[in-house]
Amino acid sequence: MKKAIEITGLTKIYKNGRGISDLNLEVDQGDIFGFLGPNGAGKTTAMKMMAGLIRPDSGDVKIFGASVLDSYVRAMKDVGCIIETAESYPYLTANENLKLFARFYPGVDQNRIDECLKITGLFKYKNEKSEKFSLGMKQRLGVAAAILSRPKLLILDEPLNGLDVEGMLDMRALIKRLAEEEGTTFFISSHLIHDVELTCTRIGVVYGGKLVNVEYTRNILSDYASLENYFVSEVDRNGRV
Amino acid sequence: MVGFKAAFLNETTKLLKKKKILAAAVLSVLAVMIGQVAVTAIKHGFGLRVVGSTEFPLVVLSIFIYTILPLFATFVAIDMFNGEFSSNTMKITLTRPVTRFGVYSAKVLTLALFIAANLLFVMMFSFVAGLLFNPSSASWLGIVRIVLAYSSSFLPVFVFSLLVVWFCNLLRGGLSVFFLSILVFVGFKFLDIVLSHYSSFFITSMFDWYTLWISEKINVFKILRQLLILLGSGIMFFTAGFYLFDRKDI
Repeated sequence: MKKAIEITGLTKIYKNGRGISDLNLEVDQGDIFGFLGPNGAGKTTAMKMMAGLIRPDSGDVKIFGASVLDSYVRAMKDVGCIIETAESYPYLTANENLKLFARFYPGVDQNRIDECLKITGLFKYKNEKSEKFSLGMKQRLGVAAAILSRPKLLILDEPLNGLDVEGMLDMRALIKRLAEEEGTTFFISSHLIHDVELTCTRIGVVYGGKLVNVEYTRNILSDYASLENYFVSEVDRNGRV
Repeated sequence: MVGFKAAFLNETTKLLKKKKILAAAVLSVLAVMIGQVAVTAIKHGFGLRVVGSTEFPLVVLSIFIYTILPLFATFVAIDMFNGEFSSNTMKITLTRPVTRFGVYSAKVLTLALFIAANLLFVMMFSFVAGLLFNPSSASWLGIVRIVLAYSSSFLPVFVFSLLVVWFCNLLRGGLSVFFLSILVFVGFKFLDIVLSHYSSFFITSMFDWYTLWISEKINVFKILRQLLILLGSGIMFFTAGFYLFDRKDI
């Protein structure tokens, strides 16, 4: 099977000593990959390098075979992402924001923009400036922007941030629907273990800047009572007192 | 260049949606109106004819090019770079299928467009104002001189704004960039006086190079020398700014 993501020897160490070191990982097409780890474990750093926002000290990330370092445009052609926080231009309406993003993708028209606004429940607020939006609504707009181009890969850093219960359920359903119907691959980081357990098909645990284990969710749940137990055991095994 | 067109259209849209462009237009109109009122007051109060209709835009330009234009070009540059870095919106564009060079060039081109549009707006407005208050002294040669002066004024201001863009990528805070730009602006003016032999190397001293273009006897060699210095400086500032922008961790 063709790999959606191939990460080899990815390293980025900040001046404070934190970061991520020698990350090697492959994500298959169609996977919903959960990237789990405590705060400061290096999840966002890894995702930023995957999206080309920061340069690694060493290593490379290939997305559908194209290197983020050498062929950025080709690598990002089929990628949608939310990194750290879902941002939008506050002085533009939801519709204007999406129109701006749509310019980078030839196939995206107003119908698709409306469709994305409907999927994320923002259609009735399409002409409101995003500065007036709540955190959850901004997150929904970020999701609408990420799925706008019908990407083959979605990199989502804490996609459930700020969402209410209904929003979380919608998001979970959306992820599953896109994975099943359109074969979209997901790379999701989250600290909400329960949601990761319900959504992701494969899980990688990152701790202290290192990837400590990668396993299929079904295998984990056959050995452990819950993903939380597995996570605690992995973290304990890797030096947490 | 992949994604450049989209990035450029987006930058232009963002600029138009912001209030800075409106503020620049209002201040430009005010400057022209105050200038015209002053000229008319002197004319009627003291009986002195200060400027004719086609000279008025040149008087406006001599003030405008040292005040509002570089000030707003600096604001726009800071907003495009430091503003987007600090509000975390830079990553919106940088995670799209477009190279960093494409994004950087689109921003610089939008800045150039802003300067050109501002010059064009003031030129037309001051010309109409001059014509309305003193219609008898209009001439075709005068109009050609106005167009030449305003067109040639674009380059030194644009090169200065490229220097600001470099500062934007060198320093983190917009306020630091603003004060450094003012310091450099004033410093260059001072050096222009103290080291007048080297004045061509201080970009701000060339803000009035339009006078070379409209003088009675055109000094081609001096124009060419200053043009090459401006182009060389512009290329260096552009490249230095891009070098930093390309390596920036977001």
